[in-house]
Amino acid sequence: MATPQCAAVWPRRRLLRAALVAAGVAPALAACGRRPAEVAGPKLDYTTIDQGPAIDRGPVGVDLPDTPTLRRIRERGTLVQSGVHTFPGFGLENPRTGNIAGFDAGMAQLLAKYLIGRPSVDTLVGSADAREAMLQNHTVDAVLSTYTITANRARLVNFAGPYLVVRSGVAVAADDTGIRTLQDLAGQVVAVQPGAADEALRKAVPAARPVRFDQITQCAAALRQGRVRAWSANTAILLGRTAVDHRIRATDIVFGRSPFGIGLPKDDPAFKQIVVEFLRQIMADGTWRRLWELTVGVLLGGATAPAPPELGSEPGS
Amino acid sequence: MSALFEHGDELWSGFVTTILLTLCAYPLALVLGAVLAVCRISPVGPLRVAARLYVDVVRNAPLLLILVMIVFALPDAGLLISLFWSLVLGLGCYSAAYVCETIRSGIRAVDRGQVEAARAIGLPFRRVVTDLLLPQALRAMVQPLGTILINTALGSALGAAVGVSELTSETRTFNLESAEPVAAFLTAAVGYLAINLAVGLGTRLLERRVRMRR
Repeated sequence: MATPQCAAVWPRRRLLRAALVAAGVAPALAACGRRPAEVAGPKLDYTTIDQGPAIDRGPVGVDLPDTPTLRRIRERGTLVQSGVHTFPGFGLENPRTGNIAGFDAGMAQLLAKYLIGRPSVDTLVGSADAREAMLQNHTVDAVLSTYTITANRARLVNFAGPYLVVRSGVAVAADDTGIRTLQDLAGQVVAVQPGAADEALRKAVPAARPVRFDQITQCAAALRQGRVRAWSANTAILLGRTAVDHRIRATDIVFGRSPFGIGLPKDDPAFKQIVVEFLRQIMADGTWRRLWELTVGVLLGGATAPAPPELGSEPGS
Repeated sequence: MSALFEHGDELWSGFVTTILLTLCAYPLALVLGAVLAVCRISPVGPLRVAARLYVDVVRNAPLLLILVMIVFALPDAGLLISLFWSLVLGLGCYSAAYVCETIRSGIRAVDRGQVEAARAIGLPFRRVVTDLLLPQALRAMVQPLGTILINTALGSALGAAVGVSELTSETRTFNLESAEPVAAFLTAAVGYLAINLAVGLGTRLLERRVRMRR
C-alpha cells in the first residue's frame, strides 16, 4: 500500500508543485500572452481612452420624480449596472486602476451623475446571457452593455434610447482580396461575438457560417491564424483592432444596424421617462458629442461625432 | 414557448454536438489516462516522473486555460486543428489526468500480496498489469470513471467560449434572440441532465455486472 509512503514524501511533493509552477507554467503563460505585432507596434490608442472630461460636464437632474428604482439607487448611493469590460472604446477595464473606459462606461457614469449627483457606478460584467433576468429581479438598475434594442427584449425590459447606432463591418486577413462585397461571405466561416454582431450577420447573409467567440481578441486571433475567412463586428471595434494588428484589415463592407439602448426594469415606467430625459439633455448640451469623441472617436482615429440618434425612433424604445 | 420550437433545430444540433464531443473526448481520456497510469506505476523512473509531471500540470490548470491554449496558441506554433477536434483534444487531455489518478488508485486498491505472489511465480510486469491488476482494479473504478465521464460532458460547455456550437452556445444564441433566459437555460439543463442521468444509470448497471463476490 502506498499510503504511508505518500505521507512521508508530502513535503517533497509540495516543493515539486512550486517548482512546476515556476518552471513550467509561468513561461508557458508568458509565451501565450506574447503578441509580436503589438509589442513592436505604436502606442495603442484604445488603452489611453479616458472619458473623464465628458463626465465632468455632465448634467445633474433636478426635481426628479420619485420612483422605486431611483429610490433604491439613492439609498445605495451607487448605480448598479450590467456592463462590458472587454470592448475597446465601449467598456475596457484598465487592470492597473480598475476603471472602465469607453462610451458605454461613460454613459453609465453620466447617468449616475444625473441621478445622484456623482458618477458612482458599480459595474457587473460577464452576464450578457442574463441581462433581462437581472433587470427583472432588480439585481441591476440599468444595463449599458452594447445592448441592442429588439422587439423580443422589449417585451421583458424597457429601453431608453437609442443612444448610439452602430453598423457592422467585415475584416479579413491583410493579404486576402477575395472578399469584396457582403455576398462574398456566403458559405464562408465568419468569426463573430454572440449578440448584435451575430444577429446582424445572420440577418444580412443567412448563408454565412458564423463561429462565435467570446472575446474580440479571440476573433482577431482566429482570423489571423486562418481559422476563419472573415470577422464581422461593429465598425468601431474593427477599426480599433485593425489599427493595432497589421496582419488583418477592415474592408469597405458595411451592413446592418444595431441600435443600442439603456435597458431598464419593465415594472418602473416612470424611471424610463427620467432616463429618456437624461439622454435628451446630454444629446442637446453637447455632452454626448464630447463623450463620443473621447471614446469611439479615438478608436476611429480622431473622427468628429455624428449627429446623435433620434430618441424613441426604434420599435421597442 | 413558441420561440423554443422555432429554434428546435439549432438546440437539437447543439445537443448532438455535445454528445459527439463527449463520445470523442472520453475514449481519448481513457486511453491516455491508462497509459499515464501504467507509466506512473512502471519500474522505469523517467516514465514515472514524466507521467507525474503531466498529471500535476494538467490537473492543476483550469480547463478553459487549456482549451484557449489549444485553440489559439497551437496555430501560432503552426498546428491548425479544427475547433471541434481542438475541443476534443483539450477535454481528452484534461480528463486523462483524472483518469490516470483514478486508475492508479484502483490499482493501489489491489492487495500488494497478490502482486508479490505474481512476481514470485515469475510473471513479467506486462502480465502483472493485464492479468492481475487491471481486471481487479477496473471493478473499483466504475463509479469514479463514470463521474469523469459526467465531468467531460459538462466540461464540453466551455466550447461555447471557443467557437464550438454545442448545447450551451446554441442556448446562449437562442436566449440572445428570444430574451427568454429561463426557458433557454432550463432547456440546456434538461439536455445535460438527460446525458448525465443516462451515464449514471449506465455506471450503476455496469457496476452491478462486474461486482465481485467475495
